Amino acid sequence: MSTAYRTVGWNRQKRRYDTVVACGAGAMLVTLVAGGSLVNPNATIETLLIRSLAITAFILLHVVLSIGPLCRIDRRFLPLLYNRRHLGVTMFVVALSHGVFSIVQFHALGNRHPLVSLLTTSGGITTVSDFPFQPLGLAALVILFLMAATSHDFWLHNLTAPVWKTLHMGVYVAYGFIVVHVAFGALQSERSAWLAGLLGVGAAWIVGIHLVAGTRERKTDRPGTPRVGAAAPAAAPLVDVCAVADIPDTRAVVRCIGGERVAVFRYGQCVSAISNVCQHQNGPLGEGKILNGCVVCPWHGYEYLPDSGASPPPFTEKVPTFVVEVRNGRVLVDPRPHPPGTRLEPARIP
Amino acid sequence: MIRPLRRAHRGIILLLAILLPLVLLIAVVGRADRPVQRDWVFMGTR
Repeated sequence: MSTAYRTVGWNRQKRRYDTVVACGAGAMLVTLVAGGSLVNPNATIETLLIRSLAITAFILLHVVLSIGPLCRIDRRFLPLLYNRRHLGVTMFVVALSHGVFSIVQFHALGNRHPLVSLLTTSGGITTVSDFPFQPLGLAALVILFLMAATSHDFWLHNLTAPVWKTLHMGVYVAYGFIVVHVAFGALQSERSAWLAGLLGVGAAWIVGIHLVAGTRERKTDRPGTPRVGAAAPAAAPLVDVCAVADIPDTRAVVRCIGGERVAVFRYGQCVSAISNVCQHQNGPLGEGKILNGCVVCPWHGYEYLPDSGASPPPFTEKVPTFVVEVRNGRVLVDPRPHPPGTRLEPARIP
Repeated sequence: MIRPLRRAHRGIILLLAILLPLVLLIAVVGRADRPVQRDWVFMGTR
């Protein structure tokens, strides 16, 4: 968390993360070039580089796309999420290198502009192999560029988290384009079954873990039990969230109330409810815990006071708060959110 | 994540789950008997 924009807020964890990413990508690239030259001794260094860069970027994209659902399935993957943007930008740089090398190699020798050549090379489609796969690769690269260019917190704050998240969901469109790009490109000139198999396994893995994580998430979205008449007649019915004993100290229980997730925190003899959505990147606040009196987001460490939903000064992030009551050992929440940063008296556990 | 985003996210994943196997099936079943030799050298001059 920071009050000013810096190019990269370096710390020990980020340095370690980036070193591992750079060394891993570099080692992968060298291995693929060396392996490719052994398998296909006639291939030129340009061809080997184009192919190796493509495979490296595609593997990195799979890793990037796997981190989110893996974190939903098992919290031990959370450290990978902390710097996912660095991994994404690295993947874009590798993919861009593949794109530039390919355009120079295959489209720069003619009398037309390379980009015009790339977009117009394909003639009529009479067979599957005639499908214009190159423009799809370019489209994916444009999406990945937009994501890499807006990956900094500056854009996150100025676009707002929902807009930024929507923009960055374009990675799935890019992934779809790239699978088609490979299926109608490399798969048509390389006949080995393992390439088609790997492409299929990769796509099945990405879709599969997202579906598994999504199925788990659906359970959280089941609405809480309304207690009609539990509040004043004019008020909305309070929602029975859980027993007080169900919430571990300094932790939260997350329930879907009024269509949105609410994190109900217990700290000592107090219970407070705030929106589950972190203002930074929509992280799940209810999966964090209270440290030094603040709810800490498990994704990037953004902090909020549990009774007001406001970040402690000098920070300015705020999330909506909800009225909580404790009756007969049960925690009841009013489903109507209060404006972000509104302080509400915590419910006391008798 | 907020509700409309979650829905959009699920929609995209379901779309990928349906479309990607179809794409792969078409690309593998429909490919030529021999590897395609693309005429790269002349691409920019047509």
